[in-house]
Amino acid sequence: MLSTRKLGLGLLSVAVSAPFLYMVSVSLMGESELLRWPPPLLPQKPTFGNYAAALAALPYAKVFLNTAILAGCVMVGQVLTSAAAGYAFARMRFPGRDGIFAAFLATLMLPAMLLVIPRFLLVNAVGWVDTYPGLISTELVSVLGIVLMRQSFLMLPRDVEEAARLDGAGEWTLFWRVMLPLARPAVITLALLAFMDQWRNFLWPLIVTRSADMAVAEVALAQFHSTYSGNWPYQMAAAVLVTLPVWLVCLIGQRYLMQGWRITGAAVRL
Amino acid sequence: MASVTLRRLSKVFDGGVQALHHLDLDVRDGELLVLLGPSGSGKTTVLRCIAGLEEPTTGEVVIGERVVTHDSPAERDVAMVFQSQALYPYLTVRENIAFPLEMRGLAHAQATRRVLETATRLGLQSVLDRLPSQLSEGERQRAALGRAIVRGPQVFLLDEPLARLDAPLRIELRAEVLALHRAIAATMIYVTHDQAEAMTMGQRIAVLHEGRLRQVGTPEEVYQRPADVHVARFFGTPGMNVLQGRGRAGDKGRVIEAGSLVIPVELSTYEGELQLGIRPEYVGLCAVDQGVGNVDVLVVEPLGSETLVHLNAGGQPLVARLPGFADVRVGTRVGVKVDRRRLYLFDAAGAPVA
Ligand SMILES: Nc1ncnc2c1ncn2[C@@H]1O[C@H](COP(=O)(O)OP(=O)(O)OP(=O)(O)O)[C@@H](O)[C@H]1O
Ligand SMILES: [Mg+2]
Repeated sequence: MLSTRKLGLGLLSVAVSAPFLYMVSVSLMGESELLRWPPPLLPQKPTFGNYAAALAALPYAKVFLNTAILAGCVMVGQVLTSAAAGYAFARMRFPGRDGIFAAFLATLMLPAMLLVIPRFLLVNAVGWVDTYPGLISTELVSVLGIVLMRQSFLMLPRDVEEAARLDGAGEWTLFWRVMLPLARPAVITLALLAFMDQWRNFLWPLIVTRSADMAVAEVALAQFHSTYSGNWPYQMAAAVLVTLPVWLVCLIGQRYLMQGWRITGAAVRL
Repeated sequence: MASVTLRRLSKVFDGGVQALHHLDLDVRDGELLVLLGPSGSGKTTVLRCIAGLEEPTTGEVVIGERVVTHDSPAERDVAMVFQSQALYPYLTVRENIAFPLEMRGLAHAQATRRVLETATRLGLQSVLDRLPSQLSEGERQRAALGRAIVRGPQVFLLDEPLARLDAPLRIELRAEVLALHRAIAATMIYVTHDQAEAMTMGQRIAVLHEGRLRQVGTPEEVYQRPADVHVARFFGTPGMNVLQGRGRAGDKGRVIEAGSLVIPVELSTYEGELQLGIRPEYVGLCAVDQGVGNVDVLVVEPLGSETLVHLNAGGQPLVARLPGFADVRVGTRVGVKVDRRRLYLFDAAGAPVA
């Protein structure tokens, strides 16, 4: 039993990582290498030339800055809104609490595409198209984030909270000074997830931004792709560069990401 | 400082569990009252109602002159040491102790001084900058005490603060809590399920059983004059023997028959079901047929200063506590003597029979 399971997991991890590894491999090839049949798995003579060229062709600094602003702001924003809402849903009593939460959960079932048009119309109405506020504002609240934070607040023991109440902490102090630090692992998880999610955000930035000046990573990559459609190694080098931050975050934050998936899994099952 | 009064306090939890039944309790100003009861008897619930963490279903909580039944915990000026300590895990000992002062907006310099005083009193100076996870169990418990006493509240509630410690440390900290009580002359309610601890600590002991307050009295009172059979069983190591029996008229006056024992008593009227209580120290052994009945020896436990002998009295367990090393063999049959002035009689429901 165990060995079939191991074999299955092994195959799965190969299937998942193979495209990435191949992406890196191709990015190190010369332009003509891929034209041979069968296409080679590894570069004959690895070269970093593609990277240099990709760096020169992309407005790299600007794209990274835009993406970092988007991902950074959304990360902070989602952590704050999710933590506050999650805390309220988990620990405060107010009429309609569970009904409102159920309504939030229900929105998870709506396809994201459905919301794109109304969101665009709203942003357009306030004149934020092709600006940072337009790019960022609609991403600041995440239902999954709220679910994650609610669940982790529910899992915290009551006694520390009660000790703080006896010590004289008010509701805000309780949230900010006592509960939020206790929920730190979940906060970190949520921050990482939000960051990675936004770094790979494509559809919304594509719709709400127009100028090249406002392009974020995925959008720039797509443009790059249409410009150099014949040169695969070149494109792969650009792709590696653009996804590098996500890889790093993934590597460093592994522990927290796993935990986040476990918590939200438990929450959604409830 | 202030007194604490509970009036007809009842608590029914959401699931329908009635944890407390009409509790009336008066804790005097500056007193150390021990609240004693077995696990699940409602001790924590009493403390939580006093602290304001639980709203009583009916009844009142009065602190000093004020009825505080519906006040928030912060308004009550009560400190509690939790069964689980409940220190802030990401704050150092210093920050943990300072937290209540900070919440009350004490000036920084003054707070620093108070924290140091408290830490010194509890021997925590050398660990002030450690996190709770870096402390020993005893130090953690001291830190929890420190956080409770630092702001000098009107009332201290301690929920089994020493239950997690090993025996020597428990004795050491018990003495410290007593010294602390004397030094700050505070009103303290100290919860424990350990009757020996209750006896050594309490000026008065309140005995809780299944959510009902059975007796409130000095250690001597609850030991010598238990208000019912539960209290009687609870005190002493081992606790009082309780035999199920019947009272009837015998050849030479009234007797109680309990298992294989027939004990003459001066009961003028009582007939029918009775519970007979005898503390192990007042059960003696003698030759067969010389006492009030014969019993079989089941287990002999020599403890050095005394020997516990577990007996079978016609199907009912009976423990005798004999001085020194007693010459008793397992499997033999012996006679039993009882000190008749030391008998306790309870009716079938457990109330004392006069
Ligand atoms: N929040 C709650 N909801 C329902 N029942 C509860 C709740 N808290 C306590 N109880 C019940 O109330 C009774 C008294 O509990 P309590 O915690 O006061 O006992 P205790 O004397 O402190 O026990 P221990 O010595 O084990 O701490 C128990 O039967 C318990 O199951
Ligand atoms: Mg308890």
